[in-house]
Amino acid sequence: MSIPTDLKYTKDHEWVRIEGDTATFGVSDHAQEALGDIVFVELPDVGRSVDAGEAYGVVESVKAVSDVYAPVAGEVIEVNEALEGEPDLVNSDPYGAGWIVKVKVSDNNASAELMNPEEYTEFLDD
Amino acid sequence: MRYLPHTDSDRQAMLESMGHSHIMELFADIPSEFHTKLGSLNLPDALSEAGIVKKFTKAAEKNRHAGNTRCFLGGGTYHHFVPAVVDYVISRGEFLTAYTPYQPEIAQGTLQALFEYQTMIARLTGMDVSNASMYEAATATAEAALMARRVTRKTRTVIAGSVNPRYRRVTENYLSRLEGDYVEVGMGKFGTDLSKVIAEIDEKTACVIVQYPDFYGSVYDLAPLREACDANKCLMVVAFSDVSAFGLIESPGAYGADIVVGSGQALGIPMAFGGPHLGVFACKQKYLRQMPGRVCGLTTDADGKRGFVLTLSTREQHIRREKATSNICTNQGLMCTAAATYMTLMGDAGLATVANHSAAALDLLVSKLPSSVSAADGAHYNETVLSFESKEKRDAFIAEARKQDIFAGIPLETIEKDSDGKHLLVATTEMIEGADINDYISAMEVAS
Repeated sequence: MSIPTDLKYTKDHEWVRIEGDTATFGVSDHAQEALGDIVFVELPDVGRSVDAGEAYGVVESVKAVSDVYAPVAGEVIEVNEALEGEPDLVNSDPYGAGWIVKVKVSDNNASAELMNPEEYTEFLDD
Repeated sequence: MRYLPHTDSDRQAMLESMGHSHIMELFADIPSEFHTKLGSLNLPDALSEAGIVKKFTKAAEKNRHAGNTRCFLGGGTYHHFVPAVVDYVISRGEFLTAYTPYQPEIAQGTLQALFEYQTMIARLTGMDVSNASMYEAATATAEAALMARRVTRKTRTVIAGSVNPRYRRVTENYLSRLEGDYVEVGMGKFGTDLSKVIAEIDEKTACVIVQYPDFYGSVYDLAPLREACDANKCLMVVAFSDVSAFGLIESPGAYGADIVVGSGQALGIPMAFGGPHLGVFACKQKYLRQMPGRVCGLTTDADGKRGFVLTLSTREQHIRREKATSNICTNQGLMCTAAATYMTLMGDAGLATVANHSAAALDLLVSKLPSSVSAADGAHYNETVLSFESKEKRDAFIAEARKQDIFAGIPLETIEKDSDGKHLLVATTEMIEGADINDYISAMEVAS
């Protein structure tokens, strides 16, 4: 189970990489493994504002459909269009090519309860 | 023929086991003045099986229905011909089953029929994809409104007043528990005024719903609506009542409709007092995952052989639970198979013949109207509104026609608000012949 040390995590198994005022969202290695083969990712429109904890997209696997929730609030500035043709990038490279959206973090800094890698590892062990 | 299964000795045995000697002892707690005296009901003698068949056949012959009259009724249900092949195919045990059989291991025939149904409906409506049907047109229209809200994340619904009143009532009911506006656009007289509909579209509008041909049978140019929808990023939903229209007129898909819904009853399903019917639901490919209902797909099995299977089930309630795109994941699958059989049998040419004849019959009828009766203005497919001088004159005509086994039409006020009470909604199909129209017009002249 891969849990990169430079990311933050949520209880919904999302990860977020914050660089300046840009945040990148994706789902964790644990999440993609639990979901199984991912066949479709529904992406939000660029320009949409999302609150922390709000569902911003849908990840569909052969056995389940799950909403994905924003770890921090912001405005969507880029979506990973590669997922439209290759949704399985989420399986093969969840922290890299399988990223889902980039947002411009909003001023109010609202965020879901974020965990550091150690806390997330502990959370998964429980 | 015996109607009661128990013999006297059966009854005696049952009474004995309860410790009684006579059946009246079971009724001892009911005061005797309420007991019916034996023989007082004055029932006729029992009949033989043959006698029963004779008696009820005679009674049934008094019924007047589309099959033994000249039927000019429409309003959402139409008397098109149902070829014998349709009933033969759907009566086969493999298709005629208690529940929609979707297990691919044992239901390839049904699944193939559904797949072909979807393909033919998509072509007929001019859309990319169709589901494997809904219950009927009214709930299909309501589901289209819900789907547009999911797609656009907006909440305002605009619906033309010329959409079948029953579709509007069901749609309004579905939306009444949700946030957002539901706006019905008044239409004036018997047709669709697109400029009024377009005036109600704003940036909050999730979808606009029109009917084409509309409830009054009127056919009009949908192109301005597409432009207005694009300008406001809302979905264009087109409903219909008689799908046979698209054998003749431009399909909603050709006008760029996003979602098309309506009744498939015209495709080999009898009027049957209003049901079971067939709800058609088709949309553009890009909205597929937001579409309600079942979808059947074509695939290959582990041995590389062609097979049919339900697909995109992850939208459905057994997987998505409360976030399902629809809680209507069932339908009347047998009606779907009937429509697939009908379309296969008729082909493009057959459907065009049905549509041409249905429309020509209405043209002929309108051309023969006496000066005291007028038909609604504008282009019509197979249905229109006739206006009489008064309610009395109209009702006299309906009664006169009835004497000649003609169902003249639907008094408009029975289905739609109409203060005048002098209008008649009249529909024609390929079942109406020139002689029927002559009789129809004669009845009109006799009554006036």
